[in-house]
Amino acid sequence: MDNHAEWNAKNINDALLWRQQLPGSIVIAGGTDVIPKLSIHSNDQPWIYIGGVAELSYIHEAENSLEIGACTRISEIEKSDLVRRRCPLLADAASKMASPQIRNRGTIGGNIVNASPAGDALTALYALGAVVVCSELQGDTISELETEIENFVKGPGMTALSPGQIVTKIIVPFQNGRHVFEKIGGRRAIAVSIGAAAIIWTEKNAVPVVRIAVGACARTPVVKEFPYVIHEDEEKEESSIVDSVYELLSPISDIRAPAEYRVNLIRSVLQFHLRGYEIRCS
Amino acid sequence: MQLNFILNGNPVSCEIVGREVLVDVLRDTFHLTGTKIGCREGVCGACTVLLDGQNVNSCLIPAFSVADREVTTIEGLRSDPIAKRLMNNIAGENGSQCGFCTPGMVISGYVLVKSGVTLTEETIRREMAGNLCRCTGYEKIVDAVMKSGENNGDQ
Repeated sequence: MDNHAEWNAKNINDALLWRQQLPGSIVIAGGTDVIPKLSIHSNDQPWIYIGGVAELSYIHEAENSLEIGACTRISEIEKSDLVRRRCPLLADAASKMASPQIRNRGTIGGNIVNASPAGDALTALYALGAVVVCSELQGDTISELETEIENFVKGPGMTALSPGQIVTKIIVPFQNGRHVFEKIGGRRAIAVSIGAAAIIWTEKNAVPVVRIAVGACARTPVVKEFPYVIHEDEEKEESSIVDSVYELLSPISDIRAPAEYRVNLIRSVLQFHLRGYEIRCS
Repeated sequence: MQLNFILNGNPVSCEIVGREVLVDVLRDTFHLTGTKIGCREGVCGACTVLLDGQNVNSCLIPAFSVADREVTTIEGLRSDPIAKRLMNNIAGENGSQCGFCTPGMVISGYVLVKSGVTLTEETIRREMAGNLCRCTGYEKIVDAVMKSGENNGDQ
């Protein structure tokens, strides 16, 4: 093999072959998280560029889910009629990420593998119960491994992705019902969340449930599902849900916000939405 | 390796080593210094160009990835009527002081105005949120973009 440091994949087979053959390779799709982190003087690690692999960019409707190619740009997800109708939470989260320029290049697969605790699309995907599909070349065939997103993301910047694998698809189950996505950051855009809440009111086996995912308050986003019984004492019901979510949180204090602020914020956001009000963000 | 792409409407070719990002190729190889470098992180938007008509941060794009694609810089919008209207309005509204953010602002504003969506303050601020300005306080830029819609303002 030639000793080029940059490998420009035209199809998934090439990408997976190189991934197998080039130890320590860095996979680049949109590059918006990876490029700033790379030292421009470092030439040790081969790049495998998959941003040009057309077969990895798609949004398909399956029977019970959307299937989204890992290299689908965030802006495409944001604007997709299909996503807005069937998984509005994801479209909403996508629309609040970074900036228009970043959304035009960043990909959903990249957002997952980057595994930021404050990842907005990531938090939405936790609430939606998404499944991450990783592909690997085994002999002559491509094998696929499906992992629930909560098990795929391990910690800040850490995932279950193994050296020979590339994330190729995200399966987003339909969660029919009301979706709310609330992101709090320092400014309107290009803001890393200091708290994000993704809430879905839906039904599982005809039982009303509420799924709540919180981002930026732990090492990864966290998610929990609760049967949603309409009590006479609504406040009691709602505060027991909020307390349960609170137990999952272990935020850090950093330059963006102190830990206590983050949890108080999330508590307020959850209480507000569980009471059925709508926040109009200007 | 050789890189071939369309730059401001013309097919061009250049040699690249491998890991250069697009902004450096535009500025250093093609001497198109209208595109500025502010952060190299994709935060400030000073490096904004059009790639196949979409506004992107050229500091984050590997040059090799634009092979056979269309890149438009601020220089390439000189004769575009919508861009000219926008640039005149920015100048007229005092929406440019040091000028460093201005090429990026024009590119992002151009995409918005050209899209034909109704221009409101909310829409302008949202669609241009990826371009930072340290001088003007943004209001005059917003005013300029608002005036640049199809049926609006100064020509």
